[in-house]
Amino acid sequence: MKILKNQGDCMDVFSIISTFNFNLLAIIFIGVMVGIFFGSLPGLTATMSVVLVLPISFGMDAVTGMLLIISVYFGSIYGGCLTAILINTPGTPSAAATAIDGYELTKQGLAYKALTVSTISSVTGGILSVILLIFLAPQMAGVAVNFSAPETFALALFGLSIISSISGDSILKGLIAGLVGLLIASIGLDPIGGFPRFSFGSTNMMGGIDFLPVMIGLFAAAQAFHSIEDIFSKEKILFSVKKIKLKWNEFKGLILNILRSSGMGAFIGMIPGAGGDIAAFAAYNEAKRFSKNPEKFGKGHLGGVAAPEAANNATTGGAMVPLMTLGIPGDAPTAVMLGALMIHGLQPGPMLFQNSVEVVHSLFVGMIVANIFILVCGLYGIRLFIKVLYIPKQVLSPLILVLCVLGAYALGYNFFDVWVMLVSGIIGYFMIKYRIPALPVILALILGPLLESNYRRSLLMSSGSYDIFYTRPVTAILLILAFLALFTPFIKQIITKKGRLLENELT
Amino acid sequence: MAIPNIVIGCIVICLSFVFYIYTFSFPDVSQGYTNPATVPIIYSILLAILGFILIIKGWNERKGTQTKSDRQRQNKLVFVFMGVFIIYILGVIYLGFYLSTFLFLVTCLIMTRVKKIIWLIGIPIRAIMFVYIIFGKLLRIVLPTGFF
Repeated sequence: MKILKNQGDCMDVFSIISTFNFNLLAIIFIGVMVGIFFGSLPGLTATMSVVLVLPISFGMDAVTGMLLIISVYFGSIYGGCLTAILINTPGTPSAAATAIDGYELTKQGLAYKALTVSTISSVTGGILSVILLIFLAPQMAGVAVNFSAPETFALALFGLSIISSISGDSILKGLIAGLVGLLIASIGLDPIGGFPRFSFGSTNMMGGIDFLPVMIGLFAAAQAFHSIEDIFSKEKILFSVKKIKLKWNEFKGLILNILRSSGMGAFIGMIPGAGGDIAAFAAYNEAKRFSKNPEKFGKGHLGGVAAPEAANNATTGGAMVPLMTLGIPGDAPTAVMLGALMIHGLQPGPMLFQNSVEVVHSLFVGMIVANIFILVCGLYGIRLFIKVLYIPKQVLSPLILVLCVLGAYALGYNFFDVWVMLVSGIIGYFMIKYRIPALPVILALILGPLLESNYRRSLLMSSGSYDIFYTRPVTAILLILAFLALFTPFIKQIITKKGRLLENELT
Repeated sequence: MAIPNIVIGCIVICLSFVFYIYTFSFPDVSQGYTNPATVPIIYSILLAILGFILIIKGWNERKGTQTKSDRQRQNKLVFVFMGVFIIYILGVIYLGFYLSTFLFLVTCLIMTRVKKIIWLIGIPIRAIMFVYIIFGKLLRIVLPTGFF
């Protein structure tokens, strides 16, 4: 049965489905489970999970090997939301945005609902991005590859501008935290000339401050220190969990949010260097902007969980677009997959679709199967995941600290990362005490290098003229969006304050 | 939050000043209309401005009434835990990961008044076994062994 014609090739549905025997399905299932495990633990990244299964795939045929790696990748991106929601410790950077509302929902006893929303959103985003990959791969890759330094700079600035939205009550403190993050991001080698900056003579500092140990410190270690304050409280459990299921009305209200976030994630995923973290924050910001109740974001809004999860999982399919069509990886895990494709005798690029079309179509079907397994594991595993909340704080807090050391050390087998994690954890504790948001620091550490290098490259391209930033349409649009995203929360705050003053005067 | 805001603002200004001064040591090499100091200087100036605004905000808030909730109590136990955590990290370097983790977990459980021996010994042992099987054997992450 032929269902579509694409550049002269036909997809024989029955022959592809028949290759999915029990062994292959089992491999995909195991890959998803391994990925979820890796993704949920801070310090064990999606890239690390892909690298670790790569040697295992060598002994398999091309389809099986690639599907193992792809399912681990997809599972790890989803897995980050579990600890983000349950204990405010994102397992992956792309889950940091999920923690904003996800953890608030857990505090209200709605962890079950939050995990359900995150699972459904993740799978929807993942499947939609694979469908987009199948039908739009060549066209979409063409747009993304045209992204040059000014567009990437504008995208990074847009990503940073959402600091205003995620800073909660104190936008000023959020901006300060973001700028501190940008300054820390400038430690290390200058991206254009390679000159060491702020290294203070240390070779470790010359390599820069990696955002991962900072993230582990600011979220996991700081949260563990903070929970020690009331460790002798009579409550043996962190929060009570009400088995409240997601209602159809609630889900209906999230559909548009999920679809929009999936589209954003798929497109951002295609841009080399822009990963799930940028997509998650951008989608969160847009979801808040479009919401009828934006003031509820940050206080436990289901849309604040759905948007980043749909977006970050949609980047998985999006990142595969430039990888498979042009041989350009969209993010770090796909860079590893580039090597995997070559090892399995598949040359990524336009010829992949000519010479190995059945393999490519099998991979497409396998990606959808992997997402279905994530749905099954996620929904049936919620009862298991929630058990984490029943561990007494006296046990959980020291265990989290041990995992922080393990995670920070495992990144690069360097104790410098462990010290960075420790310092970040101590600073993070005081940030919690004095209500300084930590997310802007992480966002700035991720986007800072991208921002600076592309800003300087843009000026090189334009011979020092700033015209390049407003004469290119995509750049101009992104800069306008960045400006709106940055200043809209300020203006809203001023209007709200004036409104309250007026109300008080009238009453 | 008035006094903390003023203190944070001062710290932020000092930090921006340090970074700004340090940029004078960068070479004045023009790398296509920018140099290594260009972007850090922009960040430092913006940070100093925001720090100043925070100080003004804190100063204005100081004139309002202070409620009990404004005063932040330092929990001594947290600082003790931080100290133990630092010793634990040093222990990982010199004694190895498994031994120092066992000692750290036992210490933390004693400090948090866990009295049952089965918990005091059982939880650290199970945690170490988990780390050994998953990270040591399955993932083949080489953990520090210290002097041993």
